[in-house]
Amino acid sequence: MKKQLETAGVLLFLAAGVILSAKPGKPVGGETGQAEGPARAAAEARPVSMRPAEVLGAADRWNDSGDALRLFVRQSGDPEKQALGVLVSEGGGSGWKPAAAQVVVHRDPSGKSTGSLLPETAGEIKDQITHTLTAQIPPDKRGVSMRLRAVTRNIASNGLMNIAALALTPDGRVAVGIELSRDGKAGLIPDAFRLDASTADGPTPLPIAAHLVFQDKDKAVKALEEEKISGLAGDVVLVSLQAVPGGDKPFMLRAGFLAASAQARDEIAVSGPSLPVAAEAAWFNGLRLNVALLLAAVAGLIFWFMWQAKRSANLYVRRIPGIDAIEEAIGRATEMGRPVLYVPGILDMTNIQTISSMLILGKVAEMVAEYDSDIVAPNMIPFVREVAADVVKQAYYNAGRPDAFKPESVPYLSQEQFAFTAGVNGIMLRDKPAANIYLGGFYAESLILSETGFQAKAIQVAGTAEVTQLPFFIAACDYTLIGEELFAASAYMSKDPRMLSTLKAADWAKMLFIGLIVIGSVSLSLGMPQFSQFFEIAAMK
Amino acid sequence: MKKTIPLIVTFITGVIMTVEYFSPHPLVQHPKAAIEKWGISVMSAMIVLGTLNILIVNLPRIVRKERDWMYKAIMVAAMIATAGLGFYEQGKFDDKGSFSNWMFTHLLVPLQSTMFALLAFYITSAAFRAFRARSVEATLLLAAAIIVMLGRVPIGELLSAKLTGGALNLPDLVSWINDVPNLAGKRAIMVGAALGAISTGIRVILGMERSYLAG
Repeated sequence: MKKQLETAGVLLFLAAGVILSAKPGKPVGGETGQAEGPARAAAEARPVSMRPAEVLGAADRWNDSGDALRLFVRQSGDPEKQALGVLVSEGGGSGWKPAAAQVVVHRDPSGKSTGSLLPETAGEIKDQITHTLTAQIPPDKRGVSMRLRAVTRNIASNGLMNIAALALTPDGRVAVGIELSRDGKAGLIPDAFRLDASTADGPTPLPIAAHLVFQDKDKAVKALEEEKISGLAGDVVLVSLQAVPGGDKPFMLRAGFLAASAQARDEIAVSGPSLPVAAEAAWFNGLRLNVALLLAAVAGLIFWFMWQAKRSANLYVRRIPGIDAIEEAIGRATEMGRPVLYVPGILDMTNIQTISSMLILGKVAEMVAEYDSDIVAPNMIPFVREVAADVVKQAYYNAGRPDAFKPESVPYLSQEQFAFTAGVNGIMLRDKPAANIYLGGFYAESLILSETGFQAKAIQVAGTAEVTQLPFFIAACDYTLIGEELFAASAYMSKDPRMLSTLKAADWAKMLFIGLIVIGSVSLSLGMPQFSQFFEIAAMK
Repeated sequence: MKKTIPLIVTFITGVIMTVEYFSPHPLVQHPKAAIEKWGISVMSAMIVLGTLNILIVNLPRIVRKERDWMYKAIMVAAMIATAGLGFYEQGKFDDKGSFSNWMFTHLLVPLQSTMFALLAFYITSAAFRAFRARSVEATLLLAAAIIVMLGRVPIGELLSAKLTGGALNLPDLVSWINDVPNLAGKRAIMVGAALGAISTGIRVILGMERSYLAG
């Protein structure tokens, strides 16, 4: 019955995967192929002058994630179409990425804005712009006096302080995002345009004043002519930014703007000082809420089953033949009087596969020590070798045979992938180990190793989470631990109920994922993309 | 104490590295950046230990002229020569006239290419064994492999068009196999592996897994 349930579970899981794989790609306006009508129109319609423009209500969505987005708004000749320059900050403070994009925005009579990106710049910032451009324009944010608001909540680890601000002129002329630096090394505008704040006119800048914008109109014009900032700000370029002392808050801002179009370059708008602004660091990246929820769910399941295991040690975990075969292989090697070869992959200790491999190595080495056999565990990464040597040594201690441990049984060979492969092949062909165990992260060397082991007539057990290498191991090895089985091996071998409970939790988590995949597929098919959109992973740092 | 302190360090580090994914706050990001820097420093220092290990393991065997000592002598000589030249040329590795660069281009690259080229032969022998139709699963594998291989070459497209009168386009079938059942299997494995990684991570962070600790 259990086996039937297992089979049914596997089939269900695969079926869910098929459904997920067959999901058609979400069409994104203007992302690929030809630009859509409005996008094409905007691409052709160049700005002619700095005209009054209504500011979109983007500010409320800025930095609720720790990531940031800033918009420069202008109005084209067609009042129904606006182009925006966009800068995106990735990953909560790793610095602004100048992913400038031209965006075409449509406004319906109710004031709701939707936008599409021009194709050449759409890919990088699709997610962020979708968030922002569907925001409602709050009526109270139109035509108010010039002030800078929507301060970011992020101070970057590199010392940058992101001040994303929305500036509203009395006639709704401009919106601008600003980034300041505590140390004067902000990176919004390319270095060529950065001027020392001490040259600023007006009130004495604070030490943290912006060094990142033009103070010189001619330089701004030159930059525009060289198109170094095309797409950055539509036809509005920030040419001046000063920080002025601001009461009990850190500073206030004053901004000047230049129309970018050739016909209107003498038209400069200078703002009054802003209300005091201050930076505030965010504690949570809202864009990663979905990952946090899933992680919490999986962790919750693990803790629940650990608690269950504490109450009752009667936990059924299915047999994993590949792991059972490890003991069999070690026994065979002992009988034949030949060593066991253990290769922990070619990845560093920062990789979870290597960590898992080290945990299994401890169990394998303990078994080898108990059987009074020998182990050879060659390594490609010096750091991994040190850990592996400690693990094997501890295993020999645990088995009560510390004297049998030989440091040279855990050698470092080479950090070059194929030199390491050649070295391991040499060990296989010269020392003739009777059991080869490959557990960890492998790449192109997987088949070279396992085929050589096959030709040397060793019993072979492999395991990796590298999907591309699994077929090679399956073809060439006697047993293969597929993906999760590699991570389950150490718990499985320990027979400790608390450890085994984590395997059970992972199985239930799979059921949860299957459920989510099915719901997502059905809701997408019914034209309700919100559910699956919630689980889309935001761009990685 | 010998185990408690490493366990505490593991716990704190694990928690910080998990939380940093979700929090851009400097109180989280600064320690994370510091830990990463420490990791890089430690890993760099380990190269020295690795070099020492090569000498400690191999030199005695060379001196005692144990079995296969000549291979070990070649390895140690190559390592010393490469490192020595690097020091002598003061790291001018990128200069095309440098001997280090010559060694890389004319020794290391061809040797690596040779090893990599062996893969072609190994794939053939492994495929020969894997594709023997001994069971239903192996037969399915064989059929899928034939379709994919044929669909990847022009003659496959031509044959499918001629034999079926255009009703079946083999490259399209190959794309479907790759994009639907193959991708589904891959994703299933990846989801499982991710869950396994999470549970392993939790076991390590909570100190349930301790076999990596010596002492």
